[in-house]
Amino acid sequence: MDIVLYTYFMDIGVGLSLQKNPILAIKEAISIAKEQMIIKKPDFGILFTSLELSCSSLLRALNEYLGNIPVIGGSSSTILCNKSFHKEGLVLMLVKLPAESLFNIANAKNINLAGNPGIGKEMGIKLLNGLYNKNKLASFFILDTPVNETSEFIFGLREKLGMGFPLLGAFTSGGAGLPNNYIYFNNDLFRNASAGILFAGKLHYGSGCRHGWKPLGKSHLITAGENNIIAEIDDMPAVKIYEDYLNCDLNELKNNLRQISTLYPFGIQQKNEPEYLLRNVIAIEPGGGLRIQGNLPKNKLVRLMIGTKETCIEAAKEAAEQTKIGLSGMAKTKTKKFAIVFSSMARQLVYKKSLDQELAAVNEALGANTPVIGLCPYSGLSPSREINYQGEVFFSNYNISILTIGG
Amino acid sequence: MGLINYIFAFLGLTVIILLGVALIFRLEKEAALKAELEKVKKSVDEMDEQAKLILRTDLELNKAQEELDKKMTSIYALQEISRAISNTLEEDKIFKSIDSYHLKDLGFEKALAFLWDEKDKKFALHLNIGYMDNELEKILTFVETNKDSYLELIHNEHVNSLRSMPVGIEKKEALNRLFKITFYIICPIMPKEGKKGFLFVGTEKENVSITEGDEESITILANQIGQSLENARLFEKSWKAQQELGRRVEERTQELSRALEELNIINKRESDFVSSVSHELRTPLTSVKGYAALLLSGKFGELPEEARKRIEKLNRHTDELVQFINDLLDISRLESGKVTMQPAECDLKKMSEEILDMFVILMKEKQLEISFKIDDDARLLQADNNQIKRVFINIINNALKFTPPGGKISVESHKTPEGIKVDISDTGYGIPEEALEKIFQEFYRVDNNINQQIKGTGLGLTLVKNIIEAHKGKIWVKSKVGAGSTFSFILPQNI
Repeated sequence: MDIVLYTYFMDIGVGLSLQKNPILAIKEAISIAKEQMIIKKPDFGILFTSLELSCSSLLRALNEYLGNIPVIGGSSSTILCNKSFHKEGLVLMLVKLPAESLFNIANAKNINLAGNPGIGKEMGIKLLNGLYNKNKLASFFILDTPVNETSEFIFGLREKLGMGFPLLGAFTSGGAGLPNNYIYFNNDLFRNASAGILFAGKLHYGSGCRHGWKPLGKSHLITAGENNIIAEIDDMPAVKIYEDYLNCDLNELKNNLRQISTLYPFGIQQKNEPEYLLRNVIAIEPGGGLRIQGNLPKNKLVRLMIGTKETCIEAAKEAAEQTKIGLSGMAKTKTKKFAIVFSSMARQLVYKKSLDQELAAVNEALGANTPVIGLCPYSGLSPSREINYQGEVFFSNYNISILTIGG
Repeated sequence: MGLINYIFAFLGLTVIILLGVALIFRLEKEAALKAELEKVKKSVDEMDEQAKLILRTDLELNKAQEELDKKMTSIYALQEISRAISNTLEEDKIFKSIDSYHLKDLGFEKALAFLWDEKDKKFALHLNIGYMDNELEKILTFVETNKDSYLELIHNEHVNSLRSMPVGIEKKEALNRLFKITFYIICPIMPKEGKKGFLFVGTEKENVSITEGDEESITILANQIGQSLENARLFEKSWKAQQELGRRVEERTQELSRALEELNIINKRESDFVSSVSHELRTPLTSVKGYAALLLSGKFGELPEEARKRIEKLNRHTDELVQFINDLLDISRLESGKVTMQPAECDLKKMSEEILDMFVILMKEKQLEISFKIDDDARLLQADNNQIKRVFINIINNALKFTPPGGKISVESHKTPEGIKVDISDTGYGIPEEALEKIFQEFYRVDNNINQQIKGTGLGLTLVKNIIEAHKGKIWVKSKVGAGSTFSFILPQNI
């Protein structure tokens, strides 16, 4: 007679390995994660690795040691686990969901095909498979294509899931000149692809998203511009704003554009949002206009923003606190929760060597025993809370986004 | 009618006046508001100026912090590399110790190291990080074609980078395409001895620039490599020298062993010869002595006086010869290990009394004084009684022979940490300094008038030394010509 053990609570294990050999690393991580679990047969795994460890043998080994459980994940230049960030290594989270809770994983390839929202819709259908009549909660996905090539895909995905559906996304590729990453789905790895998971059933979820940049200086009016190009601000070439505020000439600006625009992006105030919407400059146009990532329409007031270590840590704490609102209905005992954290790469410029302090703040807010894994994407997708855009999602290169699932 | 007109006119005027006043108030209020607005605008502008200051300061701080972090990371990376390459003394392993992780920390992804082979007249590749085989082929061809430029770089100990490169854009772009980099640094590797070369590092990143700090870090790395190569070569040299030395020592040791073996064989033969000859001599001597004794006993009739004297002399000489042969035999046996000591309780005080009895008549005849002073804690030891007695007898006998009438012989013993020390002193003729070392050698006698007159075999002190050494003791002599001698020996107590 087979005895099947039903769990009425969630079981989670997290394993981190800093070994340089991928096979040894995954073996070590599985061992550590399983050690923490009571039920040794997890429902699914989430795997984040540094780029050097990305290879198909890694995933085959994972499959071999764990035995064909669903796996999603990806590579990134920085991964995180509980209280620390790592530039090399891998982290694996194994989850056994409680009874009456469900999930689906799905992937999509050739994301950046222009004019093809069908790919996003397809992934949405796969995520919803068998869950149409269930209480769908939240979803997160990872994508290795630069954000500006994915709008069709995102639109298609959201169309299927629902425009107001809480969707968290991480874009692990930063575009030209930056290394390309991989997406993991079951026992294979892909490029120009996406992998995601959707949770449903008797689970609780909470999401939180903050950046921590504060406005500095007075507001300025975008007097000329179209789509993602700001031609003029206050009737002067847009680049003048940086030249004026930072007292640097055009050459210096061009040479250090990435750093300057990351540290001091533009910000637009949003109604009912505690923080400004941020937009960073990706190129200086010949006439002194600024090409930004994302759109900023004409006649909007913008301010230059500044981020400090202290404000970013405070923001991380607030994001973690925000997730607890969604988990407030959870029972106090015999329940567990885990958190997925996407902390944008831009934040590393602010933190420099003190990156771990951000996770310390998150851990403090969530509770020291909450397993946390994640990675550092170049861009992120997070739900907006602005009243006119309820459920709307917005892109940001600066956020720390947290999704907490409990049961 | 007129009154009504006046009233209307008055009312109208009042209204006009009131409106005028209202207008004035409004204008004043407007002016005040404008002034207020100007103030606010001025405050905002001031705050904006402060915001600019904050931003500029923040930017400078960020740049400084970044530079510092970069330097710290480089220092740690250099430290790691230094540790890795100084842990090996093999030339090949030095380059293998540098890996891509170290290079990444220094801010580069690609590296090549070449050393100049004087024999083949070409650069040999010793390190490759970041290049595939097909890319490497083109690079090697390029290096071979431009080897003179690289040799010049090495000769001038010049660091070359895109920061300092004084060439046209074309060449810069060609180099970038060939090496697939956006920025590079080339630094000579200069060990004091052996092959020199150069280190090339490059990065593909576009939004970085090479700083003086980067050049400094790579120069330090190249110097570390040079130093390690030098150490490796010196180690190889000294290892080879050590091997050679070891080989020679081995050879010499074998030679000495063979010589020692031969010496031992010779010694044994000598001992065996002495033993054999002594035995052969003793037998006929015993016979001679026997017959002499018979003749003296009168068994064959009374001997004439002259004959008697001569036979008595014959007897004495025979005794001396027998004693000589016995001593020779004893020495031979001791040297060959055929005689072992028979340790028993040895009481020096008792022994001294027996010895005194033996010599008292001779002392009187020669008008010599003899004294014994044996300390209570230095009288008992474990030793072969007969052999130790012989030691005392031989040394006192010598003292007797070589001390003129009226002299003094003293025997003293006291305890030392090494054992019991015995000093036998005399007020005799003394021994010359050059003879002190040889006095214990077989058959050695000091070459002077006194020794020519006093009989001796030259074996007594040799026997004494052999006995003392067989007891694990030691013996030595102090002497001054004309002032006497002191023979000292130490015997372990072993109690």
